[in-house]
Amino acid sequence: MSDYLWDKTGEADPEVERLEGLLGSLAHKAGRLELPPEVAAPARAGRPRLAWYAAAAALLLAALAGALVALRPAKLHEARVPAPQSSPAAVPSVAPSVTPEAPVVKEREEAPAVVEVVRHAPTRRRAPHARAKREGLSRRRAAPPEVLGTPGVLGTPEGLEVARVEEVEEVPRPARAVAAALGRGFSVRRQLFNALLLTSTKLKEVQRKTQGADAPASDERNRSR
Amino acid sequence: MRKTLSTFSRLAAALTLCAAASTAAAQESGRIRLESLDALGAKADQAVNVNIDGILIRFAGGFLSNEEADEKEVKELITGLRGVYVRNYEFKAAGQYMESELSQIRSQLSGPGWSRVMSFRGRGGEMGDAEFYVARAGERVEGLVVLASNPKEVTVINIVGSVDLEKLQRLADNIRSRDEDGKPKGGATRKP
Repeated sequence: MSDYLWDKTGEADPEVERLEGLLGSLAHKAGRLELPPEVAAPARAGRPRLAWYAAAAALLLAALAGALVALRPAKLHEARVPAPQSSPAAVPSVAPSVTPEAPVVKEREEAPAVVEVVRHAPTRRRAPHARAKREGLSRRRAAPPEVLGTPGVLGTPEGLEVARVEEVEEVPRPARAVAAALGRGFSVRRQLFNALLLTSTKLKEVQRKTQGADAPASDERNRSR
Repeated sequence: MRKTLSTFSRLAAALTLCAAASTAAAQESGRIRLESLDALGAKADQAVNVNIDGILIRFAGGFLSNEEADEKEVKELITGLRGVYVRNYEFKAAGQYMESELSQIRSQLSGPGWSRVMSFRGRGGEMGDAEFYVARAGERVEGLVVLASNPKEVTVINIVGSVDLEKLQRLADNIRSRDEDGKPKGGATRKP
């Protein structure tokens, strides 16, 4: 048998030669691909424009995001009600005051009361429904009894579990938010009181000092008279 | 492409201008920046840091009763306030902070709009220094600053907005004259 089909040596089969002649024009030609002008022109023109638009849009978005972040008022940040578990640093802190007469000193002692209010709120459940259903029994035990509602409403134990879990998931959210907001409100109110007291104390101090400074001068004036 | 670029640059310039304008507007009159004092917090034995802005003041106002006389007075007092910012640092020993650390605060207070109403210089003694500044816009008081310092303590109080100082003093005296339960302390009578 000839090796023509393998390495083009030996005797060629006429049928193979005929097919070679027919298909030869479609064989691979080394070189750069050249598209017809009607296909190539829009592609060349469109690609950079699209890239520019994309870059411009990205820059615009980045600028907008930056401006939003930079201009977002700190007020909203501070007004946001913090989670009860949040670190004390998240809440504007009022440490013991330096002035013995101002009741700011009591702030640290009173602070746990606010935390206590929040702690009494039932904890929020975020588990997916199926998982909650699976863990229904343990959740039911963990949840406070008043949250669970009336037992046995739906008859079957399975249905009852689901119903209970749903209640545990839904009810505490607003309660917790309200408790946190209340705690935050009272905390801010106390801070405001203390800040105003401190202001008053320091104003008095300034007055006292300036009056004290004036007094010897006026005494001297009187003496010279 | 040039057209796109020029449009984009115009847009970017407009955005920058908007941002600058908003930042300038955000800088409230009557308010000073207290961030320069944060370094003192690390050295201080005790630090008080209160930041109550306008939103929080209104929020706290909702928790003040109209029934209790004091709370009603505080509610009236805070109506014109846009912020209360307090920094108080107490040091264990003298000389733990430098007078130059207050220079940024003083430089803000020497700017336009601020005027020093009272000042006391203790010449480095135990009495310390005390200054009281007011920011005015025409006849309206836009804010006040109390800057009190002695070798072991630094206090800067910035109240933004208008505040009735007489009412504040009267209210503070009333609160101080009573103990935690609201009973008169040592038989002190409550002022009307």
